Amino acid sequence: MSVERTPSATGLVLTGLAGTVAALGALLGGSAAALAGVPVAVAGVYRTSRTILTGGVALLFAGVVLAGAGGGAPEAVVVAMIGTVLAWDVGENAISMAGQLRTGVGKRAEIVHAAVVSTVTLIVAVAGYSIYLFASAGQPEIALSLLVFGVVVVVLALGR
Amino acid sequence: MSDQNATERLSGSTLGLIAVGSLAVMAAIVFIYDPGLAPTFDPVLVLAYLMPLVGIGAALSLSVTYVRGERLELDPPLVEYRSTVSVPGTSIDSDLAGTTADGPLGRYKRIGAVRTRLQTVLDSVLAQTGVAPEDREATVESGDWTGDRIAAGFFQSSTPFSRSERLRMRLTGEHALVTQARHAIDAIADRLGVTDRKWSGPEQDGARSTIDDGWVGRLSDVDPRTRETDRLRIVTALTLLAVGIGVLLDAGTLVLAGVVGLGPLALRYLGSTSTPQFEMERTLDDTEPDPNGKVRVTVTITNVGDRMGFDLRYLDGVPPGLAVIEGSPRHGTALRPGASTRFSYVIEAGRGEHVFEDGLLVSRDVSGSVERVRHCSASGETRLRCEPKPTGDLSVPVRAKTSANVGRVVTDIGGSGLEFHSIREYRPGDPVKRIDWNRVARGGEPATMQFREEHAATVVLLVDARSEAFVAPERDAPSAIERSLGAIAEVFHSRLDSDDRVGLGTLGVTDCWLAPSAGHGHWTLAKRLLTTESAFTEGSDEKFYPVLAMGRLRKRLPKDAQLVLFSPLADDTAVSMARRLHAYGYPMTVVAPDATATATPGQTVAHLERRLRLSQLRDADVRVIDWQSGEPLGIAINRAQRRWSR
Repeated sequence: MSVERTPSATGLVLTGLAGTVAALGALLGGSAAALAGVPVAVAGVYRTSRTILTGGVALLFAGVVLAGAGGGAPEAVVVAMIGTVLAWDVGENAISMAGQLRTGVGKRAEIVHAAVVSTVTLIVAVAGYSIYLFASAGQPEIALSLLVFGVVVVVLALGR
Repeated sequence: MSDQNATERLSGSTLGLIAVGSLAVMAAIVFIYDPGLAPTFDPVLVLAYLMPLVGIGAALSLSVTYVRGERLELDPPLVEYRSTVSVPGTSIDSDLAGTTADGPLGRYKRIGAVRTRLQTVLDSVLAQTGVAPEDREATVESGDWTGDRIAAGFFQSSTPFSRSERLRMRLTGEHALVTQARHAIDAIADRLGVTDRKWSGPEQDGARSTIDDGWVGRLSDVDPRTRETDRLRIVTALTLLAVGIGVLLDAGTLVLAGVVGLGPLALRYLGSTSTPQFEMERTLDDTEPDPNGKVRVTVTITNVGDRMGFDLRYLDGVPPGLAVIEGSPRHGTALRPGASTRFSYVIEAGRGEHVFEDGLLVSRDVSGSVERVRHCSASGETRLRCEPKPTGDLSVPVRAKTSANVGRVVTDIGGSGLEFHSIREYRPGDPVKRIDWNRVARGGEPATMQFREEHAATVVLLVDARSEAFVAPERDAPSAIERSLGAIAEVFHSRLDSDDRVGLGTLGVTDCWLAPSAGHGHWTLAKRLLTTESAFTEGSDEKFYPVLAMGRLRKRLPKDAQLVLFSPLADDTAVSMARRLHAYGYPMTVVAPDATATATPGQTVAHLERRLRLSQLRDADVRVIDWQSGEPLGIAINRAQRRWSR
């Protein structure tokens, strides 16, 4: 019997998958920086260290920013961002499970969690992308200002 | 505002912010659809640059506080281990490590307490190694007792470190007093001749195990509560950063990417907040196992509510006195309404009656950001009963103090018996069989042969059942009280077999007494007491008053009783009680299961203290059986008997 904080293989695989999606998205968008984030994020889950995982996610996000700022295709950047967000969500969930369940099993809950979160994230991304497609030409300055203002306020209110 | 409210509803200010933000977003969308509606001037242009900066700042502060802050999720106890036992000396280790103290001053005080404790040990060690009482203080102050100047310095008024050493310590974050304490423990152990230690020397911290990574306790110690885990703060930070950087760099795709993070955030508020309903059922494959038998526990969790349980983590209430040896009593899963899941683990049975505690259910909402912790009782079997099964061939040697009844203890009284004792002059009335006819035939005076009479002894077995006796050399080793009770069952049984009168008493908070008696009906009583007495299984947190317990015991002890005390001698009270009972005229034998280890400095101190207590008892003419861990009691008795005088 052991009570080590052992992350499940499911958690490691899911984090790796999400990280790879982020890295591929960023790569298609023109940035290779995110590739370094995948092993770091997986190592963070393996060592059950949220700090290391945050570092890995930060590297993935750096890839998203470089791709976005470098004029990468919007689709690629959005896919990279989805991967980045999911890598954190799934990885943190695996670390939390390892801490509370130790060697106990939590595979099913992890898969369900990953499925629900990726579905909702995908829906939101598609919705955002459709608005973006409509708005790609000639929107007034004030619209962008209000959009940014609104998004920042709502996100801050909900996600504190 | 209670945390319950915070998670059930959105607070007023949050709703206000959301309303303002949503209005702005809606206006923006309207303007995007129909640019003609938009005013030609931009009064909030400033906001377009201010808000990204606010967002980036908030994102950085959120992620930094999250990474540096304490985790807001439950850290459940390690139910896999017995929570009733502790390892002697652990408190010294945590004092030295500074985990128990609040602030540098508190830590200094703690180390001061360790120093006082070590001083007492050193004093006894010096007494044992032949330093006269009047010289001891001078020896300690001069540091002559050891060759290690750092160790000597721990008890001296001046620091043994040079300026450069102190500078190096400050740079490496090493605590000077802790280093000295470690050296002192090492030197004292060497002085007493305890060299076969697992803790190799003052440079080492001592062994750490996976248990140090968590805490051992009962599930009932956990407060049921609901809280935010704050795990989505990083997602918030990513969203704000993407939007902020995107606006500042004029990269529309990044602003778009930021929207993605709203998914998990929305999930946290869209997901159901009402708690799913679960039922647990537990079955055991054997409710009355033999000692050290394996029992498989199977738990079935069913979702009886009408809501999906997205993330539930269950910890089964393993009895505090038992340990899990295979599998895990924890299970995590997702259950839709009506579905059920099953898991099992194996525990090792130990003597006594063990009750399963309420399990702990940690359920999270679909986004994992609200965590509910509550206790839930499982239906089905909740009790495990394990009776001692003595083999009956082990006994503690008794002393020659006996009662008038005939038994099997060979006494020094001359009379009828088997073993030759002496010859005395014939007195009228002596049995004809015992007259020394050879002597009469040689023409001498008639004389009578005497044999050693065989009497029954009255033995009262005492068990130290104070909380101090719930100790073990390792977390997963059998505790001292378990070994004691196992041995008591053996000794009780075998002394009854040799026609002695045997009684059972405790030194502990709970009063428990079985008056000395003989016969096999008596064993049944003893077996029941050993099995069902909860003071032996779980211990008690109440304060123990030695004077009261001793008074109670003396009133009950028969005059001709001799005592066998089973105690790990984990504190001085045990020693003083044993010595006092011996002095009252009850011959005392102490069986001391060794529950100390030497893997860390603190454990080494506890080990030294126990050694000193054994010698104190021997000095007081108490017979001592030093019972090492992992050794049959018979071997310990043989070894001890070699040093006893008859």
